[in-house]
Amino acid sequence: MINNKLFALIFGSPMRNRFVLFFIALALVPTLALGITAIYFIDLSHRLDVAALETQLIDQKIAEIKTFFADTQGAMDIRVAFEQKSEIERSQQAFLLKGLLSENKAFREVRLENLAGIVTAKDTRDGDAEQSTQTNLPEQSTGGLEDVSRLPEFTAPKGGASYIGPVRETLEGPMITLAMPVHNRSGDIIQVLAADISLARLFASIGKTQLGQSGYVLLFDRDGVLISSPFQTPALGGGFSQRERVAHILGGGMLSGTETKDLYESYVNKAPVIGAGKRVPALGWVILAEWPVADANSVIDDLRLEVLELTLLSIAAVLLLAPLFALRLTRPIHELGRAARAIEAGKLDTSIAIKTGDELEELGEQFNTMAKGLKRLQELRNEFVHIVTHELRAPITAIKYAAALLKDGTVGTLNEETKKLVEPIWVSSNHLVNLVNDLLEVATSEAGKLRIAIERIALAPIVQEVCEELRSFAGERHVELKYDAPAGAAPLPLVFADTTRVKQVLMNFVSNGIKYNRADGTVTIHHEMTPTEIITHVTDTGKGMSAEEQAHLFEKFYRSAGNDKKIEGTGLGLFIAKDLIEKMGGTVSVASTLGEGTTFSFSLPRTTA
Amino acid sequence: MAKYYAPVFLVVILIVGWIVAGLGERDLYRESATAERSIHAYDDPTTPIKDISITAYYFVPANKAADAPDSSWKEPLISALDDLKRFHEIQFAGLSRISYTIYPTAIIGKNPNIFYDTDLTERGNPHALESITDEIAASGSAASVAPGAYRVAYIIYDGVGASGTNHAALINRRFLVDPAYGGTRESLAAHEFYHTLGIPDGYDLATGTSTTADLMGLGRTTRPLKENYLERGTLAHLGL
Repeated sequence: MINNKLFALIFGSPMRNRFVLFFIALALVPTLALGITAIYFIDLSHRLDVAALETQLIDQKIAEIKTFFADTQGAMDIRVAFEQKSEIERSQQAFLLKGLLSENKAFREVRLENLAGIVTAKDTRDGDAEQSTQTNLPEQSTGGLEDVSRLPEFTAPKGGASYIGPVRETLEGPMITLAMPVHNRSGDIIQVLAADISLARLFASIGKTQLGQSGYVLLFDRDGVLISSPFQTPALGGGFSQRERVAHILGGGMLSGTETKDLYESYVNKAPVIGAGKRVPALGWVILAEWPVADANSVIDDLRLEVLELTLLSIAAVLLLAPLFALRLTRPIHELGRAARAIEAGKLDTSIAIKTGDELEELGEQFNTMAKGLKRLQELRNEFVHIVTHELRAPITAIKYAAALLKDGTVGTLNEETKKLVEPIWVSSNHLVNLVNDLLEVATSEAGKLRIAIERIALAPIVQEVCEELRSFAGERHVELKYDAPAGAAPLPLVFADTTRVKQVLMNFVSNGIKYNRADGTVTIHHEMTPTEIITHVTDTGKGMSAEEQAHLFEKFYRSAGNDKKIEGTGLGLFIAKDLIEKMGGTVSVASTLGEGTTFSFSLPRTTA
Repeated sequence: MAKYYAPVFLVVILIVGWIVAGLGERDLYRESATAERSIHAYDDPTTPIKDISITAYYFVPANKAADAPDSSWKEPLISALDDLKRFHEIQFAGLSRISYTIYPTAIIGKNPNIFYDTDLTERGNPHALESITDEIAASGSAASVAPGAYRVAYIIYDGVGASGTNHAALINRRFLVDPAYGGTRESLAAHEFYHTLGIPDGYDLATGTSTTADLMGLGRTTRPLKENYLERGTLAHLGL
């Protein structure tokens, strides 16, 4: 039941529903659009920021690598002061190599090779120490320390090109071999200078590079071999040249970090990352900056969450406030409807208080004015009816009295023809008197002038009195009148009522029971006691009424369509009876079954004694 | 009108759900799968070398049995094999690993050294390797290895030469203990081991001129193992 009421409260008003949906649509569309747009642009902006940071970092690392090789190759770019096309003196070679080792810690071994591909001098650093081991070919010696004539580290520089070997993994760390031609003053190539270079410090620097909390940089050589990674795992070896991203960069492309394919699963740690990458010029290496999504988006996730919370809060507020706003708008209209129904029910003193300060308040005031006008009209009508009925009663009563005298022969014997004329006069005047009396009763009541004197009274004597008065009438109709008076020692408790009005009501109910009964029927009167009331039932054995008839039975001037038109009645008796009982604090009801009979009941408040 | 409530709220919930779950989230780009790398013997994809099991033997010709050291031969052998393990793991990126066992006692040959040795040690001493491996196999001293492992017999020989072929290598014990070989002794030992995987020499056998600078070529005699390496081209033949 509560759920039904709640449902009706929430959804029971089509206008309110319309307002609610209107508000929701009006407020949610911009809220959602704003939230979606904000999140989209925040994400787009962040994506560009991430890509810019990665690209910036890559450029820094490329500059670092270029600087390293520029410094190293710069140190190896030797041009001797003489013009002879002969190798450097052996003693000078040793001196030159010693200088190179001391100049750059990255040099692990340096060697000079003559144009026949024979190593003529070499100097090897002993670990990280400053000391080195020199091996020199004696002056004028035709032999050699090592024959490198078929190795690319010799053939390329001998042809005039600088040689940069592949990066190689060793137990000492990553190494690379560089070789360059040695020129004389005329620019002739007189020897080749080769060096084994440690890349450990360079790669350590690159490996320590960090983006945010967990972003890192990966370095692949020109064969697609991973040569630098921050992860403490053995080098991951080759095979990356066939991987899409590395192959793309090796082929001359780049990863901007903004494309769809730049969000991928990392090769090295299998985490989702946002990646950007470029090729290192001259070396052909590939540098990839990878930033795990969870870390890169941590800031944006917080921001997105805030926007999302704000959007959800707005939606919640709209969903909560929309019904309240709608209620605020529809409440005056519902008030007007309620008041209109009250006026329809005859409660013309109904008024409403709408304080919206707008047209609705104005409408409410106009409604109150209308209600007052209707009430005044009713008062005038009641007064008019009261006056008319009051003025009509005396002459009609006189006519009835005269007709009775004529009918009864009191003023002389009438011939049959005259009797036939007098009879309808008597019947009509009698009906008119009853009608005028009833109308006067109603008008008096509606004008608030009906006098009811409530006191403690006993019902039984009144019932017995009514029975006595109507017994002859009942006899004429061959109806038995029975009163089931309370028997035994316990008398019927007193009730609070007006004796005259109770008798009036009883007369109405009992006479109706007689009038609308069948021949040889009965009218039975009995009482029922409740803790607070005494209910008096008048039951007949007539033909009964339908539910539809029962619903209108107590309305003014209502007469059942199935009534015998020969039976006198004004249609006001039950209306008056109901009005009187209610004015005495009781209620009236009817229960009827077609073909079985009808029971009219009225209750009156009882004393506790 | 109330009938529109459910669709309206459903639409709102769907939009909010879409915002919560997916707005701004990009799908992970999936790269087309690449074939798994399979590490194998040189140019022989049918022979995996993911796990290599070395059994090392100390072989002494019959006429030198009296001069053979009691157990001091083990120490340089263990050192060389440990260095080889680390070197191998680096070069193969952890995709191939070495384990080894050392046959506990010296194996005394049936013949004097003249039987095993040869004057032509430029090519190693394949004759000694062949004879000695046959003799070890016949004596029942060959150790069993784990199923699936690539089996290698590594022989320290009290004779001349150094040689390697599939599944077996031999190295003169002097290479491991003579100070003359200094910092390159582990490189020499490793060089011979890599022949057991089928890797050829990186130098011209006729002239001795190196064609590669790595462990299989010039590096075998010029670089200590800790600075040595295997060339990219060589590793490619092994599946890397």
